Parts: sequence; structure tokens; C-alpha cells
Amino acid sequence: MSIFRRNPDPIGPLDYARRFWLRAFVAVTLFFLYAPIVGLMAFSFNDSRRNVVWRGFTTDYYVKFWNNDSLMLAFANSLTIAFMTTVVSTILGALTAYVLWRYRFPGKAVYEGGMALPIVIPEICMGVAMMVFFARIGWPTGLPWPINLGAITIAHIAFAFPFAAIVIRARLESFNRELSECARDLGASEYRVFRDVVVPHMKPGLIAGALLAFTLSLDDFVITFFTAGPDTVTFPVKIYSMVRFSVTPEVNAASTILILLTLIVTAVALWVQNRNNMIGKSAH
Amino acid sequence: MSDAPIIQIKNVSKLYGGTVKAVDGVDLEVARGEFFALLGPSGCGKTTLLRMLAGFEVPTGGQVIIGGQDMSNVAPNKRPVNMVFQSYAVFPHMSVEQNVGYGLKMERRPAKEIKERVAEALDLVKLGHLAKRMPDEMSGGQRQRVALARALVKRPKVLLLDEPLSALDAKLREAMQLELVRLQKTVGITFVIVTHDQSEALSMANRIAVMAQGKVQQVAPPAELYEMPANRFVADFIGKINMIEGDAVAAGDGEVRVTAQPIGEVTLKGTATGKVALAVRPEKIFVDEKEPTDPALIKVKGKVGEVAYFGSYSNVFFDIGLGQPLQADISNLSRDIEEYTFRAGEDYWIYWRKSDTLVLGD
Repeated sequence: MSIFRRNPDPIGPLDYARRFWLRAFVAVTLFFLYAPIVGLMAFSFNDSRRNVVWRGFTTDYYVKFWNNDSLMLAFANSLTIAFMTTVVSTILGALTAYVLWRYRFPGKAVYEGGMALPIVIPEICMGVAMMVFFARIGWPTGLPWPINLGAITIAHIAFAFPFAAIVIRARLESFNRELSECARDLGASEYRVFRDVVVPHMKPGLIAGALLAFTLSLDDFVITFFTAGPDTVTFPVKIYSMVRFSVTPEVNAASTILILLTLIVTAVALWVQNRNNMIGKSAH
Repeated sequence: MSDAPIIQIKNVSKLYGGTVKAVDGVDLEVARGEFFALLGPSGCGKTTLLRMLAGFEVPTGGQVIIGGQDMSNVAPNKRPVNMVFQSYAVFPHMSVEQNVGYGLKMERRPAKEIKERVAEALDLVKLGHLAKRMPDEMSGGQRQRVALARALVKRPKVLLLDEPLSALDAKLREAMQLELVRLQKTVGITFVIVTHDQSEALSMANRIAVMAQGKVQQVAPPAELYEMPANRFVADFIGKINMIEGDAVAAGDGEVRVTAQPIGEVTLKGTATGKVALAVRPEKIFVDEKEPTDPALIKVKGKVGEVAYFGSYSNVFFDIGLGQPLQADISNLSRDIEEYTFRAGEDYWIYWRKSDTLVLGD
């Protein structure tokens, strides 16, 4: 087997990947990174009420999860919030990025810094601030689903769109401005230039930004915890409340579903972005 | 009105940040159907001038008139000009066909007309067989043709070209030079090209404006520019030239008497007086072991210094007792290697015709 065959060449000064200590370091890092996740997934199939000893394989807890109405509602809440957050954050992020990239205006640096503030403000502060804010303005509660998710969604958009804006802005940096001048030269209005030339270039950034907003929203706990009411529990908040009693395989099953969902969305987004990069390669 | 200039640039200036003069009071006229070149070193304002024609820069002062119409308040997308960009700016997400058709689509032409004109334009640049290709599947040269077709399909009054050949390799560049000239003759559209490459300008353009520091130094056809440069800058910028510093006084009858070391005193045609440069192109210099006697010649003694052999000619540097050497391009007119070999330290008489000598002021 070629991977086990000793490479006869001496280890070169830049052949870091062939040094034992570096390999060991990587192996240990990967182990601590993935072992808990793999363990969590494996124990979701454990036929035991307690989560310590392996008692045999079962899919009971997935069935239980499926039939747990409050858990399913939390799941639906999370997806709905994540979806709305994604759409609004991406649009808002794209517009913000475009304004910052395209125009010069007084106070631009302040605006840019202010926009990025939700990224650096501790989440706990954002959460408390949001809670106090919604209480102070008297945000109505007890509205029918899904309008009752409004407060959480607004809070999520507020902290997710700067991430989208930064990703899209970075993508715009690689835009060849001659492309937009050329479109203009060929008779396009400012709007057509944006639609026909700038947006196609932004697309990988839009996808990456949307993905970021989606995952940020889906697994956010802190801010959600402070803005959620009794009937607007999201998936992470629900799992937290379940863990407070005991860590049953049902929690594992729910977590596994969440991980898989995130993985699928990421994979799809990466695939789309890769395909776009192949097309966009010749832009510069 | 058909023989009125298609482009009139009247006292146009462009200031950046209120102080930096990128373009400084330029007056130019370009005739209909001309192949006009803006030539100059980088930072001379030639690209800024071109961008003012396209409408991407607004002049700080002066007036740009295209086709008899003042362009002051006309947006870039409404101007009767089209541009080929330095990076070609081919839209990466559109096929060749879509790229070329984009401008017509913006004019809201019917689909049938777009199709026909796109096909015609692609045939013109010999890309008819690649209509469905995506830009990333094409070479630099092909992408440039797409950019050309895309601009020409709009049938502009003027086609602007911003350093169109700078990204191509040497061989392709030469081929494209000929191609651009052919294309310009075929379509009959006025071409204005910006370039820093003098050979490009000389070989393609009908007329060239040489620019430096935001000002036009000289506007002339290529041969006139080369043989009758208006000042030191133009003489130095176009081709190679030897300059010998001297002092000139008017001698009447369109002549000046120049005193210069090591030539002595010589009377030449010219108008510049005071500190001048006697200038002569290297290929107009002859060398001989015997002293020439013709009074119509200027002659100096020199020692061979560096020699660079180029096959068809040799570039020989002679030490004539000045700070800088005098260079001569000696054509290798026969296969006699011995006759055309110059060895360092050999003495020669170096001479050229008085009529080939320029008297240049500043």
C-alpha cells in the first residue's frame, strides 16, 4: 500500500506534513474536535435511558423525537426563524456591502464600524439589550404563529446581517470595475449595471453570506434565550431545557438532526459556490 | 458638415484633488474616419483624456464635442462612443454571443436584429465559430476580439481603445496591430487608441498626439513625428536619438549657427536659439576609417565602445569625448562579417548629413 510505504527521500525543510510531532499534533486536534460529535451521534442510537453505557442499537429515540410535539414545534420555529433571517440578512448585507464598496460619503468609516458592531459586542449583552428593548417598546406577545417569532427574527437579523455584509464586501473587492464601466459604456443604466454585472459577480458572496446567516440563526442560543417567550421556544433553547433534566438519547437524536441539517446546507452552498467560482474565474 | 471633426477637445483640463493636473489645457481635433493615437509615458494624462471622451471622467474645465454635440451633460451610456477596455472587461457569466449582444439589448433592439448584427460582428473579428463559448474557455486574444465585436456592434461614431494590446504577448500583439488597422478600414469608424508603446502608435495610427505631464507636446502623422519632433521630449520619447548640447544664434533665412563640442561651429536649418540640442537618429549615422570630405556632412572622430549585435544591424556606441556616447545603428549590408565587426578601441570617423540634424529647443 502506497500510503504505508516509506518515502525514501529525506524529509525536506518545508516537508512539515512528514514530521512525526506535527502529525501527532494534527491527530490529537482532530480527535478532540470530532470524537465528541461522533460519540454524540453514536449514542443517539443507544438503547438506554441513561447515556453512559452502550446497551445496543435502536432508532426508538428518533421516533420519540418525531412524536415529541413540543420538540417538533421548536424545530419548526428554528427553521422558520432561520429562513426569514437568511433572506432578510442577505438582502440587507448585500445592500450594505454595495453601498460601502461603491460610494464615498461623509462618515463612511463610522458607518462601517457601527455596522460591524454586532460582531464584536458580546452576545450576552446583545441578548439582554434585545430583551430590554422589546419589553420597553411593549412588543406584543401571544400573537399567532409565525408572527410571534418576529422578535427573535429581528434580533437574529440584527446580529447576522453584518456577517453577510462582510462576506459579500470581501467578494466585491475582487470585482473588476472595468466590467461595470463597460456595461455603462454599452448603454446600461446604473440599475442594469448592478443587475447584469455586479450581482452575478456577488453571487458566491451572496451564497456564502446566506449560509452564514442561516447557520448563525439556526444554532444561536444566547440571544434567542433572552428574546424567546414561553410559546416561541427554538430548537437550541429546547435542547438546553431538556438537558437540564437529564441527557437522554432523545437529546442526542435531536442534536444529530441539527448537525446533519447544518452539514447538508453547508455542503450544498459550497457546491454551488464552487460551480460559480469555476464560471467567475475569468473575471479578472 | 461631414468634414467637420468628429471629436473636438477644447481647452480641456482635469484636476484631481484640486491641485494635481492630470490633463492640462488640451486642444485636439480628430477627423472622421481617422485612426488617432494618444501616446505618452504612464501618468501623462492620455487615459484620463480617453475616459473623458467616454464620459467616465468629468472635465474640470473645457469642452468635449463629439459629432458636433457638446458632451458636458451626456452620461456614458448615452454617448455615441464605445470603448475597448484594457482588461477587455468581457462579462464572465455571459457567452460570447450574449456579451456582444448586450449593448443592443440595452438599446431594446428586436431579437432578430440583435441576432443578425451579433453574427455579423463576430464574423468581422473572425469569431463566428465561437459564439456559444464562455469567456473562461477563450484565450486572451480571443477575449479581446469579443471586446472589439461588442463595441463595434453598436456602430459607434468613435471607438475608444485603452491600451488594447498591452496584455498580449509580442507575436499576438503584432498580428493584432495589423488586424486593428484592417478592421478600422473595413468599418470606417474613427478609432482613438491610447498607448504607451511608440511602435504600436507609429505602425497603426494616421496621426499621433504625444502627451507629457498633461499637455499635448505634438500632433503629427507618424513619419513627421519621427523625423520632425517638435521638442526634446518628443525626439527622445519616439525612437532612439543622439543629442549633443550646444548654443545657437539666429543666422537669418530660417537658419541658426550652432556651436557645440566636439563638432565646432555649424550652420543648420532651424529656429531654436540659446541652449539647444543637436539631434541625430542612430540609423542616419555613417562610419568610415577615412575622413569624409563632403561639406554637407557633420563629422567627428570617435572610438568604439560597447557594441550590441542585432542581426540585421549593430548598435555601436562611440566615445566622442562627451559625457555620453554617440550611438550609431550600422546595417549589416553584406555577409562580410569582418567588414561589419567593430572592436572596442578602434578609431573611426563618424559622420551624418547636415540635413539629417535637428536643432531642438526645450
